[in-house]
Amino acid sequence: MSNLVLESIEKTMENIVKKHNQSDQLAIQIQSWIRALMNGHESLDNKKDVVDRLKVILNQIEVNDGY
Amino acid sequence: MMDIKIRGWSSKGFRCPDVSLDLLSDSGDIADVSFIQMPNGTGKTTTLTLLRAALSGEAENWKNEEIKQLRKHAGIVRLGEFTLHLDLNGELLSFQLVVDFENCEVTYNTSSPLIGGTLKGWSPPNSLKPFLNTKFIKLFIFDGELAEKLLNDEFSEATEAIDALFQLYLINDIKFEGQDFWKRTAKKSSGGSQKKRTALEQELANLEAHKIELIRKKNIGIEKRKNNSDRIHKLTIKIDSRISSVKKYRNDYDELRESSKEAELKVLDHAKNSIDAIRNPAYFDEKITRQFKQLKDSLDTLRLPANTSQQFFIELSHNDHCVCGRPIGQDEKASIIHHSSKYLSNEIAGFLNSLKVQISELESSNFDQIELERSVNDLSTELDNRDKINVGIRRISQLLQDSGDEELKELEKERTDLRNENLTLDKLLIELDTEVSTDPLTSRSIISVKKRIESINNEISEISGTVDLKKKIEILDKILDSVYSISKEELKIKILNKFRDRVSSTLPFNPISIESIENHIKLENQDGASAGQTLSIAYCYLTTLLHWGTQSFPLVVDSPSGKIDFTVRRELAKFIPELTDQFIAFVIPPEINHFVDEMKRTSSIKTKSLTVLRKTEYSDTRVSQANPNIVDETIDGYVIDDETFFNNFDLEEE
Repeated sequence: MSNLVLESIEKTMENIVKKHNQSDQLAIQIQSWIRALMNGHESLDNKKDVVDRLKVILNQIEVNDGY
Repeated sequence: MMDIKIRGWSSKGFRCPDVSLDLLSDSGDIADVSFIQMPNGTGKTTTLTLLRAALSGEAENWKNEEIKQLRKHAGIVRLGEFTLHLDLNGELLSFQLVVDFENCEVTYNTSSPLIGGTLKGWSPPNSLKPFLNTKFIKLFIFDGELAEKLLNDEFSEATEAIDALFQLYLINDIKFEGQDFWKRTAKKSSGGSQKKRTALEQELANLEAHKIELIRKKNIGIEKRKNNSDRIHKLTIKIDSRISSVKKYRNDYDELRESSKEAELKVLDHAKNSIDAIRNPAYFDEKITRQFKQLKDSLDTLRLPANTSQQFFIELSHNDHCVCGRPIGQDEKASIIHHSSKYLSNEIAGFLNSLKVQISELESSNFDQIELERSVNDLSTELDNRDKINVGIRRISQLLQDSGDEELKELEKERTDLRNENLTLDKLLIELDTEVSTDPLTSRSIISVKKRIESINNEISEISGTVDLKKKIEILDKILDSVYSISKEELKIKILNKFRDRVSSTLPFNPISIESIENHIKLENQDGASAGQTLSIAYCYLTTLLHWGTQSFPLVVDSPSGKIDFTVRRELAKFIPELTDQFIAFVIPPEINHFVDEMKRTSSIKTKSLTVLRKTEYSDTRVSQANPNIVDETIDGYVIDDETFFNNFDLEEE
């Protein structure tokens, strides 16, 4: 079931990220986290994993472009 | 592929009788449809609670009170054990829930070849884990109230079901984790005075608690108002029918009621026209248009918003030299970006541009106060007309009440009280949704509380030196919001097509058309649905979701034909077996006729009919008289696998 969502996310993520003036790399990182959560390979209960994921994603975000 | 079926369960030490039962048919396969007859008082609610808890692992978070409520009354029971056996793609998977009532502790064990034997704790295989959460389980361990909520525009159960099935809620959970990460980082940082930060954090905690309380009040208010409106509708039907039954007043009353309906429609029509007229500033007063034009001219003179927008400073920071000619180094660049937020942001600039466009459009409208006055006068005339008709209706009712119709008097009083209560609720709901200028903490404005929370969060980010982090989190939130809404809309379209097909193929004689899936399921050209239609649509919707792609989940329903009439029961009985691979129904004796018997008669499915009884003097007598096939007998319960006993059992005499 989650494949259907992941397909939809993969199709749209690049454009969404571009609209927010962010890099493709950010799109890949967010997608990868959502996929791991939906497939049950990772859980939001594991706070260490959550912080690691967030740090990687936040490092990819550029705030100087109009935000 | 994910094919889940329930094989059976055993229970010991809980409020329901100690029983062990399997849902296998005579051929040894899991039955397509299992009926479990449990008369009232046999612990059906406890059994459903334990089923949900075994599936979700949620019992580890139960509070002491919740645990105590499940304890068997009779005797001193220290431990409760509930084991649920599932069939996952043909392999056995069992969850055992052990409750220590003395210490209010809950532990789990999980066993299956799929996880390499028995493990301590609630440990389903990874592929299944995402589906075993309370939100998703709610869909297949079906609660009767869910059916009504799916079609009610005051609830969002239909769209939440999509979130649960496709795990879209994870996207919002990630947002929550981001916010939480920022809050923890800000708390740890040493910036700003500790005293000020403590004060802000305290205010924030109070506001968050206040917000939750206000939202709770709003939800209760909406629910109460809806229930009152339903009751008012039913009372009106009763009152109308009572007055119309008196020959002397019938014609006058029916005529007045018709006129009242027409007058109400006219009032609504004129009210809409008046509001449209009031909303147009050009109709209101000539001065308004003139002053708006002056505002636009002033904005143009100052070249606003373009010149001072936040974007200007951001672009400036990328230059080597400032407009004043001085060089821009790293420090200057950081300072310009830091302070850029104090000037016009993109949102405000966008608002000003939009305002200017609308003022230009306003200039071309003619001032027409007469139009406004005419609309208001027409509305006033229609209101007077409607009130006159309603006075006539009330007069007839009063005449009957004065002549001694006590029942009518009571009905009218109840309706008046409910209408008054709804007026009070309307005021409360408006208050909750209106912004105020007073202290949000003492107000009842949800919007004001939310705005103050946002402002404190900004302040905390400033003094804790986490402005940059907070901005990044906001960007992430916006991206995730877009991902969520785009994915949701795409899914809704796909689900709607399948759902419509299912409705038209399973309910060919029932003229129901599904218009859309908003927060609720919207029917075409229909405001409401009968109890039978509601259940039928709910079954179609849930089974569309539960059998998506290569997935298959059972559907467990408590009292599946509920209070609906016999004709609809028979219709439901015919189509349910086509919707799902495993249907488990907890039935009460009155549901046997026209539902259970009809399902068994009309389909070729494998069924299982169990009767679960609590041991009482009466049930002991019935069992000894009938001598049925008892498959489990314990200290306080029977499980009987016997078709004749199932069909003839009725506790009315008890």
